[in-house]
Amino acid sequence: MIRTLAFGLLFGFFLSRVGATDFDAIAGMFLLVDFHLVGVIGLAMVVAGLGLAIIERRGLRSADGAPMIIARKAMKPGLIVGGLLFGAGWAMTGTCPGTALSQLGEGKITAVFTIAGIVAGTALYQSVGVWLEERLLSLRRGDSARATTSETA
Amino acid sequence: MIWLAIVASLGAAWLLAPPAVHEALFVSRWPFWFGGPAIGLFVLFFLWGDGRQLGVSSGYSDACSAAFDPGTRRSWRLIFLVGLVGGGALSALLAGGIEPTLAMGSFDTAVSSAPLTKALLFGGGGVLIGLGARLADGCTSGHGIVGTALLAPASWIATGAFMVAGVLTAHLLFA
Repeated sequence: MIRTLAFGLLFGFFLSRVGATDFDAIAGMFLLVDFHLVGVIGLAMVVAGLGLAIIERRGLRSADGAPMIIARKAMKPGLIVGGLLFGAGWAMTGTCPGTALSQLGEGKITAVFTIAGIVAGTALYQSVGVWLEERLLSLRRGDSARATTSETA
Repeated sequence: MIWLAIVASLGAAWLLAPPAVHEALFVSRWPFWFGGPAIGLFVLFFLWGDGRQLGVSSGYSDACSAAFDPGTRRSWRLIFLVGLVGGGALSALLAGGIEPTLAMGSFDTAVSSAPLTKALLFGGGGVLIGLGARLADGCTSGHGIVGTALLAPASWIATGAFMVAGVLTAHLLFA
C-alpha cells in the first residue's frame, strides 16, 4: 500500500512539474496556440507504447515476479458521448481527474469544486448512467434480434 | 522497498543536484521533451514496480462505492488518488511553498474571477468530467496515454472525442 502511495506521489509530482496542472497550458492546447502539452502527451504515448510493446512481446515479469497484465479498453455504447462530455469538462475546468488532485495539493482552491463535481458526476453515472447504458444495450440487442428474425423469415 | 527508492531518489535529487539542475527539476516547468518521456517511463515503472496499469478516473468510482461498500475502501486506486494530492503538494513545496489561492490563470481574466461563478463552472465542468469518464470508461491517463500507446481503437476514439469537445468548448468559453 505504501508502494502505491509512493507511485501516486511521483505521478502527482510529475503532473505538476510538467505543467499539466496549469489552467493556461490546457486552455492554450484547446485554443490551439500552445502545444506544450500536446508534446508531453505525444511523447509519453510513444515512450509508453514502445515499452509496453516490448513487455508484451517478451512476456516480461514485474518486480514481484508476476506476469505484467496489460488490458485494452473495449468499445462501448457511451464511448463517444462520454468522450465529448469529458472533453467539454476538461476545457471548462482546465483539469482532468488526475490533475485536479495534484492541483489541490498545490494549493489551487478551485480544485475543490472540480473534485466535488467529478465525484458527483461519477455518482450520477453509477445511479442513472448504468441504467441508461443497459437501456441502450437492450435496444441494440432488440434490433439485432429483430434483424435475425427477419433474415430467417 | 521500491517506495523507499522513489522517496530516496527524490530526496537525493533535491539535496545533491547542482544549482542549475536543481532549478530545472524543481522550480521551472519541465520542457515537453523531458516531461513527456518522464510520464511515459512512469507508466512502465508503475506497471513493473507495482503491477498496476495507470488509470485515474476509476479511482473516483471506488471513492463513490466506498461510501456503502467497505471492500472498496482498501482499493489501491484510492491510495493512488491520495498520493496524487501529496505529489502536487510536494511539487509546490519544493518549488518555493504552497500558497492557497482561488486564482486560476487566464480563466480569471477571460471568463470570471467571481468565486460563485467559478464554483458553478468548475463544479459543473467536474460533473461532465466524472460522468463522461465513466461513460467512456477512462480519462486522459487510461485512454489518452496508456490506451493510445497500446493502439486500442476505443482509446483513440475516446481521445479524439476529448480533443474535439475540448477545442470547441475552449473556443466558446474564450470567445
